[in-house]
Amino acid sequence: MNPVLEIKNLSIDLHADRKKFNVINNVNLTINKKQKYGIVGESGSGKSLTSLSIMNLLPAPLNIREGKILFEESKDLTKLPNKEMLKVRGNDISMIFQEPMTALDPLYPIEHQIMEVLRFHGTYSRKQMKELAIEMLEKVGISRPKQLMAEYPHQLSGGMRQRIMIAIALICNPKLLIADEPTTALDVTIQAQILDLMSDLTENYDTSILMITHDLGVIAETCERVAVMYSGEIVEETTVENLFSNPTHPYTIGLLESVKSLGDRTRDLYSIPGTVPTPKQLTGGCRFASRCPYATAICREQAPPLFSVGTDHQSRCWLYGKEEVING
Amino acid sequence: MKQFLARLKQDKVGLIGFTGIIIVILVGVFSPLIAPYSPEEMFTDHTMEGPSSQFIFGTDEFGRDIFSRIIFGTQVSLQVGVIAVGIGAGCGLVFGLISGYFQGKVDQIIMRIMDIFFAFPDILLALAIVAVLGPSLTNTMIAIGIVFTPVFTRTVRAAVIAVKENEYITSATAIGVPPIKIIYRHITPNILAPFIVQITLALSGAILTEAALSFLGLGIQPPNPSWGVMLDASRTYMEFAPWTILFPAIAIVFTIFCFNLFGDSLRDILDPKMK
Repeated sequence: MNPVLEIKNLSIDLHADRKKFNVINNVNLTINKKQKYGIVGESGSGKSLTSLSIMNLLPAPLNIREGKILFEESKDLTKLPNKEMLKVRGNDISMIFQEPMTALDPLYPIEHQIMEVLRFHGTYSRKQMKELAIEMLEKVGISRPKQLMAEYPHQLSGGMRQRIMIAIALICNPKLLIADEPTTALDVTIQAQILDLMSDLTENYDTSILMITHDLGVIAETCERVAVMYSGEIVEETTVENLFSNPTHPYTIGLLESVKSLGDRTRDLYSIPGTVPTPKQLTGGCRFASRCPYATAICREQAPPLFSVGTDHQSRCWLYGKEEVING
Repeated sequence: MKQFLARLKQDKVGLIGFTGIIIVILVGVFSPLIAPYSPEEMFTDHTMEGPSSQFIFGTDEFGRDIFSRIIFGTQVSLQVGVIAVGIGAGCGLVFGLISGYFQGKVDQIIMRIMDIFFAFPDILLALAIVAVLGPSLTNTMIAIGIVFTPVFTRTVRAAVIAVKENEYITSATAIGVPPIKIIYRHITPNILAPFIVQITLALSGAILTEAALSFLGLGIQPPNPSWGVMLDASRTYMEFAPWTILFPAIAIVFTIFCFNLFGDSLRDILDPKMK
């Protein structure tokens, strides 16, 4: 097992009103080579911030308080000088964003946008760059790559643009692809195509995927391992099979409940009561306590650590407190 | 460029403005060929004469041909317009990009200084600067340039902040484009539309400010032909020699009108979504 990326004890603070608020707390995760790793959680759970911190792209009021993000066991991305970081971005780690409609610069034709990555990573002649770009467009399933090279983003549909984003992300053959809600803005029919495309391509390129999503269906379809995030913490971490067959954390159970099965018309759509607490509302106890149906006194007083609840399965809940504590 | 002309052709109003600007520029460049007399030549037998076949726009109190002076005045107006706006737009672009892209303390400092400049009425600030530097053509241009800097800084900064929020900037960062290149390749081109529109509007403003400064006696110094100077000189005689004030005024109005028309249609043409 060669880890491509290890996040160790990552905590991120928000600086506002001269105070610090904790938004990401003690996140640990390891993505192995060729692994497809998913982070799932609702809005505000900190999943996007985790991904931005890997790329060192956190917006100004957010700061990494502590923790390490190790790339290929050696480079700590949190401490890498800017110049070095530029080489990592797009080359070793690349990213696909949620909104394909705005993720391409409207002023440049497609060829320019694909070739821009190559321009900053490596020495290619113009001709070589063009050939590589066309080749890449073919790989992402675009049927008329040559004409498309000269077209502008606004002439293309959302699905096409997302394909181009994937082409841009993979053209330098990165070790890790971070996909931040890559299919949320797309039609359901296109979603499946894009997910398949990503899976196939990354397998050919030996690229690991970090899939950030709120959609458990996407996780089920693409990932091998998954971390459930809630309010800036990982609350459950296991393999995808374990998560769906044997969810342990009340939040995960709630999430799975809220995915309504097709054909089941007998029950109303389930929803977890309440909302994710904002960083300013956090108190000492378990962050999910206020919404948890099983909450007890200890949940409100003391934050639970991650407990081991089976082989390769961890859960941050006092319900499993009797098990061996593996991570404080 | 071809695309630009093709689209301008479809926009009648913009085309009028564009043609007008071309005419003004040609008149400025070929002034000595077009003007029948030197702007400073005095026909002492023909002072304060109305339009005639010899002097088509009439003559002023010294017997100088008003038509020739307006033609040569075009040079001054264009020169002031282009150079003053160049100074203002250049400084404004740099300050605005820095301010908008880096934000934080630098932004605060730059914008508060701009606020101070903003607090003065344009003409007053220009007057104060000219009063310190001394009235001359160069100093007029510098003064107008300084006066116009805050407007450009604000326009550019606002546009930069809006453009910066776009995901293509984040995604450019995420593929490893260094910040300077992002400013140069992705931000600057995307703020060009409001910036260029601001330039065309500022051009007319600069020409107007120059005319006002000259009118107040602190801009271009006589006997140099400037439309503002001509207005100033003819103010006293406008009741019995209206041609002395009418024609320079028409020249100013025409030029500014053309620039504004063109600026307006330029905004539509530069919108990348309309390509």
